[in-house]
Amino acid sequence: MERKQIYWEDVEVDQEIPTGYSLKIDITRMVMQVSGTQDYYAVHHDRDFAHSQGVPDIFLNTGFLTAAAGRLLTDWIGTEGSLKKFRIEMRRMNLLGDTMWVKGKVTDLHARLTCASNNPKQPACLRRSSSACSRRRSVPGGTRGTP
Amino acid sequence: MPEEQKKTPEEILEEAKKMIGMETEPVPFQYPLEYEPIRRYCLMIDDDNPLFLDPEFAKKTRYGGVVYPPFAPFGIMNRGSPEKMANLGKGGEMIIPPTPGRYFINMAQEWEWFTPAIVGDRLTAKGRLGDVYIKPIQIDPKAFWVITETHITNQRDEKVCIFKNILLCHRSPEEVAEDV
Repeated sequence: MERKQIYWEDVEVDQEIPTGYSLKIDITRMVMQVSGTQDYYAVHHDRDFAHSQGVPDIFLNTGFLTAAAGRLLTDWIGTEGSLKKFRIEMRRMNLLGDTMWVKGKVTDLHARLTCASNNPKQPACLRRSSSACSRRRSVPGGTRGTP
Repeated sequence: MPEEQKKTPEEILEEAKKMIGMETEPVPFQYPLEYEPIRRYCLMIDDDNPLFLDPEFAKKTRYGGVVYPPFAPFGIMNRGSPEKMANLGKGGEMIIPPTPGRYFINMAQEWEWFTPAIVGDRLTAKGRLGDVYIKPIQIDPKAFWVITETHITNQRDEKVCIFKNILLCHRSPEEVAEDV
């Protein structure tokens, strides 16, 4: 189950994120959505209720969508990478019967100094902010971050 | 309520704006972070990341244990019953201001992370009303937009993450027609 680890030097603007994937949104996936997010709002699992609310069918909830985006990013940045900031906007519903594609592209890079070692011989580490960050290949240390 | 006493969206907004900055009491999660909810969360999106699922693997990483997936606190927040979910504002987890409409849609989310959450951690959530304003949408010229914040800390009182929900609240076409 070992994953490939990417580093700062591996990433370039306009690069496609290579860990994209798709999921078929069938009724089993809808059940897994409720199990995984514990979101019991009926518009996500009860077709009659969804129709009564004026929507075409049951649709995926926000927790599922953030989890799906999270998988794309955490698969990509590897177990040494960390997410720092994230924003998601809902533009249209992912309905029962749809196929959802999750993919991404690097649009910008930021480097900032966020930690410094107490050991003067050890350099501070650079981390990438925005949606993902990873350590430089040349830096042995690092702060505890969120994957 | 007699028609003459019905408040306008502008009057409701005035009341709602007084609640901006209001915070809930800190609400501890009912249980420490556990393995099993993570397994179900990952299963839902076919995520097989060993950092989230394999205790032996995770133990050897810099985290020292199974890490909670970054967006999972939102899922865990929802744990409970359908009734609890329908009454989050009344249950103390969120500050929901008065709105003229009853139909809420989550339009966006923003996240920021500070320190990882590890299985066994005990998290606490505190809600805050970030903002409320009127911005028209096609079906409701006086739709309310509500920004709620949730601040998650661990048992050492360290900030784990903050996430914001940008909620749209609109009225039914009948309610909009009454207002015109």
